Amino acid sequence: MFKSKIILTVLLGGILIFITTIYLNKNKLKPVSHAAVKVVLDQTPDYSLSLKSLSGESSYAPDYKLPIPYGYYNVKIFGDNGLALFSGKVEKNRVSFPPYEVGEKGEPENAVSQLEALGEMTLLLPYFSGAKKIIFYDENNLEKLQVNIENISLPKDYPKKLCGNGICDLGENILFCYQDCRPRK
Amino acid sequence: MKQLSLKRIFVLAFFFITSWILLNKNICAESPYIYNCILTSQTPSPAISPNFTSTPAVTPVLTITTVPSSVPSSVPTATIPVNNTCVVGGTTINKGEGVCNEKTNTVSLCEGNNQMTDKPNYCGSGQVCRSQTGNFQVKCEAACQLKMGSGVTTKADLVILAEDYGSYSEFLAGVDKAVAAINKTNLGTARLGKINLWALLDLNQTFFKGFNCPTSGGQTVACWDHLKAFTLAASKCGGDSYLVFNNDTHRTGSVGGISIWGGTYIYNFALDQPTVPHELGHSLIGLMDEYSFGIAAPAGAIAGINCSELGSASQTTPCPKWATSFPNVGCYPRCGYTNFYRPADRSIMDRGGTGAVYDFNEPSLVDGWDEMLKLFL
Repeated sequence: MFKSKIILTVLLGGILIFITTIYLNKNKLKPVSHAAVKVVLDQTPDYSLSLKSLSGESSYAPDYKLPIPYGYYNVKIFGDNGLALFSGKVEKNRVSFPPYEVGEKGEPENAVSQLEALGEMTLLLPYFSGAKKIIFYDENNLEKLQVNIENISLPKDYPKKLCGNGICDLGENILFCYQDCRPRK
Repeated sequence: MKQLSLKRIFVLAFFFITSWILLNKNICAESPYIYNCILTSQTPSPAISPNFTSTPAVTPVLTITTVPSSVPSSVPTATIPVNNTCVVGGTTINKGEGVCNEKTNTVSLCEGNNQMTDKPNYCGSGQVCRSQTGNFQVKCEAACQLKMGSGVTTKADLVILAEDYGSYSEFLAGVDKAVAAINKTNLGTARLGKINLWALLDLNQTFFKGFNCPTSGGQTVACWDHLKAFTLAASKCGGDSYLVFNNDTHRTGSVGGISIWGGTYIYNFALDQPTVPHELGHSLIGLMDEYSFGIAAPAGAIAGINCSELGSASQTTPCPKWATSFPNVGCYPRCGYTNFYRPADRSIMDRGGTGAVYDFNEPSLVDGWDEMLKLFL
């Protein structure tokens, strides 16, 4: 009887360790809430990219899913064994549209769409604990720039408390942060 | 003995199931810091260092008092000691109450003894103080206020930023007008259900850079700090795109809004018009203007989703590029450039003012909005 109790306890402990391991590994594939890798790039008029600065930030990150009709880079974040953790698009051109006139006037001045290469580009990419590198590709999938992010860590001012900021973060739910995660229309 | 081991098995099973639920429901997860889980109240109590005062030793003296024969007619009122109050504009407020300056997000907090102390960012990270008329209880609210949508972060997040507004209520009145204008369009509930519209409560930012800003192809009527606006919207509310609302402090003629791809700058006076959805057509979808630029298209000009370089036999026959996908549209001369064609006589991408409409034409809806929104869950 005593022997079976030990076996049962060890078995349950083992299952718990197994689940925790799976869970922790799964976490490496998910971005950390309210953390971002800030990448500042310089772009020349002929679309050459160079890295200006790189840091871990206490910040949200956009989805970078918008389709970009006027020129873009594909950006991918890779983890262990070349596993792609994130993929998105960032614009490489600044496109200006003519102003919207609400008065009764003739044709607006300078009413022509204009396009020019962005000079400096600031990106807030999602932070993954297991991320190794970021690669930028052009529209033809040719690699333009590779950035090593293995040594990027979370900033010291990373907030201990996110509940109450209006956004239902990955680690929050309706039970533990009702004010952010309550059902809204 | 058998009952005891069964009890142990149940206890172990209980812990196992609880752990499993906690892990699977992602409670306390994601953050590398477990203390992320600690629950906090919405209104944080300020750190007030207690004042300890020693009470003098009193020698007890026995005194005989007479019991009053009659009950006093007036009920005594409790008085708050002066050392627990402050006077603000003729009103006495209690220790711990305060006045919020929304412009600077600073609370002037009553510390007692008529001592008011300024506490910047009193409400902490991600929250701001709100002033309340006739109430001096400090009220904290989320800086990112959801004004449209479900708030689910996998949706397209648009963030409205304030410039030169004096109070949150003034800014939020403009935001409400924007929501009304968006709801007035023909985007419909399915498309709008994939969009979150946030208002960032931060009145301390400026974005305007100047008028007649030079560009590679000439100049633009006004310009603003796109990088600052985008970074602020993204970092504070996870915005994919932003709208700056200017409180008419940098107006230029009848211009109601200006867009670049990825962001837009809109004047408060134009919020009663279809300005917001029109500009979103530019900044999110890349739609072209359909009103006349007064010139023919230069070589290499882009027709985009909602304009066609080629005309058709008549205005009611679809332009060749839409003939298969949109057989019910037309081909009307002028779509920005005088030699381009538009799919409908009137649409929201045409000019504002009298006769402005709120409806996007079919190619704009399907090839534009639907193609963009299908990338968001």
